[in-house]
Amino acid sequence: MKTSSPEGRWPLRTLYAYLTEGCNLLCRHCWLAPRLDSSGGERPVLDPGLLAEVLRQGRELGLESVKLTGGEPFLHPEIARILDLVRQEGLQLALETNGTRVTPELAAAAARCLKPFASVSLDGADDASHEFVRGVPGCFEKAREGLRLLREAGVRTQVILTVMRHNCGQLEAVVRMAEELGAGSVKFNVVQPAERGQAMHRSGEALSVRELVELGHRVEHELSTRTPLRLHFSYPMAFRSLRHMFHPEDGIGCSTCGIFRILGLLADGSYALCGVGSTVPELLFGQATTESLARVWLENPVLQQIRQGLPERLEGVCGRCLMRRRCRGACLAQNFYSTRSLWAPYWFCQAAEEEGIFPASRLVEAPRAWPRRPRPPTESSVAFGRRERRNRCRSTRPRPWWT
Amino acid sequence: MLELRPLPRAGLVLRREHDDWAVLFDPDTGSGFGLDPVGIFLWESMDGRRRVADLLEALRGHFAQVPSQVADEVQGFLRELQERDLIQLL
Repeated sequence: MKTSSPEGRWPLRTLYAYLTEGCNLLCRHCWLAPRLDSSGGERPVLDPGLLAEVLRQGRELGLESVKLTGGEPFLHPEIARILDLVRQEGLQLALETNGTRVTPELAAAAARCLKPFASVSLDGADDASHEFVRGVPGCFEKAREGLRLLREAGVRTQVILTVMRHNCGQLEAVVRMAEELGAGSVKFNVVQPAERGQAMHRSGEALSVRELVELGHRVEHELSTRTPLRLHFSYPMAFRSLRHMFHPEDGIGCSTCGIFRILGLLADGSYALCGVGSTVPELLFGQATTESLARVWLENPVLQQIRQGLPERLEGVCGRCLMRRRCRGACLAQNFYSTRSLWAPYWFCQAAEEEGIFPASRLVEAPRAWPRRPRPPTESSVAFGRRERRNRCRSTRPRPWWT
Repeated sequence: MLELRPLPRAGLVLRREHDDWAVLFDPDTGSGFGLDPVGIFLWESMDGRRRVADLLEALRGHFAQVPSQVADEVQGFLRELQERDLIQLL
């Protein structure tokens, strides 16, 4: 049974728990850049007792799910206890892991939680590619094994790949590998220009926005037709095809800022806007050891400012985008990291507009080129075929997803 | 319903996208609605003279494997457009 917050208007739905400050891998694109901790005992970790108290308080605010991430969540010396806490609270479990430290026992513990889901990072289809990105020899096979253990235990699994120049030719191979491993979906992330990812953008290791848009369209329109797996390319909503956005299982879940219903809890017990608080102190909201979650969630001035200002105060192309009510600037943490403004446009969209490749149909103002000459529908697009049938019931009903 | 004649509100803009879907944009409110190929076909067929029954017949002639419940779906679609003040049903 759902609980609601005292005010009802801003229920806290998901807690992102950053269990460890350290990580046993050294990913070249990491937007948090944790310090190396090979064994799990060298860097601070979240106190499980504190987490238990936060989860209990969270239930009173409407908390439904918790995402365990890091660092690397399975590096936490008491991860089994933490998984049990999540189970006891009856919260849905999401894990974001590099997969290298999963054991059959831990996989089974995860599977006992409500609706367990795990995203396992695999940044290439072979050991050389993956380990080039992840920085530690031997982690490829361990990640594959970790995913397999989670799946076999009954956890719904997803492969996550961060797209960069080094691996952009391997997307289909990674999808095939995900099929072989029994994953249910593949998510393609873009390199965020924060911490180590920022260096990749400077060096050209990250793809340009134009390259990412082209790649995203290929994933949505070509690769997704050749696999039973759900594919999600994490570019902003303005670039996603309506067909994918309307899909009942694809929806809008990703590529939107979840700040209205998500709060981060860092390994040192700080509340933060996602994990970005570890590098941006302005986005730390208080300490779980000394402040109540309700007070932070409902009264923190920055959170209140965000709630009052989104999406109306968004600037630049984000302020003129039809998707702004759903997208909410894509990632407020990244926007603030880059500019120290909560209302700055998302770097991807801004770059796309500067290059003239932002989708004109998604802007509020009338594009210069309107009205365009309509294209006749293609034969495949107008047929009520097998693939169309799935969308048929909604196909003749427009949905106001950005009014 | 079948005898009514849908008329799109003036000023609305159908913005086709890179695939076969489109955004129906309302410049007055800055709102947009996603339309799939069937919705686009219907939108472009409405002129205030054709009846809903005529639209259904045209749709059945234009698309392959039209499902049996299409009449209900199209009427639901038109009702939603009317509720959102995007069309009038004359």
